[in-house]
Amino acid sequence: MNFSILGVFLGNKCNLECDHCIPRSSISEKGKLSSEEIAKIIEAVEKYKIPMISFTGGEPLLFYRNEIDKIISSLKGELPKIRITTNGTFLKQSNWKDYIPRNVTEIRLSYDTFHMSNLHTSDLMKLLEFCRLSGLGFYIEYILTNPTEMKVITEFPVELRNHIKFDLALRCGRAKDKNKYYNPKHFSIERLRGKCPSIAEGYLLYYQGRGFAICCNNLSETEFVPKESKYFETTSELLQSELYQFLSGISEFSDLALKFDRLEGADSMKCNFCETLLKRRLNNSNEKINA
Amino acid sequence: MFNRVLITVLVAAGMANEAEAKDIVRSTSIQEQVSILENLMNFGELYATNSKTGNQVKIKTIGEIERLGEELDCKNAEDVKIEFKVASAGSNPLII
Repeated sequence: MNFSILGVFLGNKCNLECDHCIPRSSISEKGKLSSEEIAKIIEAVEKYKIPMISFTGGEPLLFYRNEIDKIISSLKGELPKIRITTNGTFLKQSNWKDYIPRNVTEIRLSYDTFHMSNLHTSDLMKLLEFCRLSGLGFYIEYILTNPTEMKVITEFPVELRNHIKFDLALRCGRAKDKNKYYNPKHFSIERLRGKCPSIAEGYLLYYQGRGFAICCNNLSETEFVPKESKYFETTSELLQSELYQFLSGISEFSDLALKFDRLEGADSMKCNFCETLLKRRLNNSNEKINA
Repeated sequence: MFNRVLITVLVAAGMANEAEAKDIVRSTSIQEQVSILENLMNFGELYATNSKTGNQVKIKTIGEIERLGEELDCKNAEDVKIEFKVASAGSNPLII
């Protein structure tokens, strides 16, 4: 099995509560990776020679530095690439450079109109310059609730514009709760040609307190697939699970969609579509996806 | 031609469907359109093809767009087929 990235959800503690946050992170969350969980993560990286670890949360740099350091320092041999996703508020500290763990190779900054009130473009420029001088990759992930909001790009300094990666808020997590997801008027037929990006790109996830999983978006939060069917103690159990086998077997979403009549605009969004199709499949056939 | 390219890129990048892409073109200034297209071009490769002869060129800068007809020897702008191939690895904007 070739995994391209291990995404590690370190926990859900975050100093911000963004409207589009998929894991619904907040300051009151408490869980952290146990020693056993850290050992499982290290074992998976070494067993499958995974070339990249992507740490996310929660806010990794404010609340999970020890866990990141333990994982990186315990890895043997050539280190994989290390990406960290952050909301950037560590930049407000005078010793902000000390918050960036050694051996990190890429920083992804979550930024949007909500974050703008906490972090100004001068802070982003500071981080960009640091990354440039240190040879680190850097990009800004900017979540939109409507594509027309892309024109915000002209408000950024020219040097930052090429580092912005736009994405649209999915009907998931807090965006779903607050009705702040992107909701196209009509279903886009283009979506039928897609397939699960996690499977296609070889992603593996580890969720603090839950286990290994294959989906980082809707299925992680939805209740119609029970926890025991989507989180696993070991990678072997995950690969043998019915959910993994089922998602791997879909060459295009059209394989599933042809069986159903009405699809809504929001179903055009990549992970929303998968969720809708799986839900209908279960309802129609009374099948249960069990481990 | 510029508008056609922008609409094609917006749709191919998964940022909008065709009707929404046209809305973006209608509701934004030229400066905003140029910045949006420059940004999206970082995440894939843009090609123009003469649909009659099959000749293809890769578009690297926005300045090349208005000269495409000439470059590909197309008398009609409609003969220029635009394609945007989104880079797959690492470009997928999932939360990991």
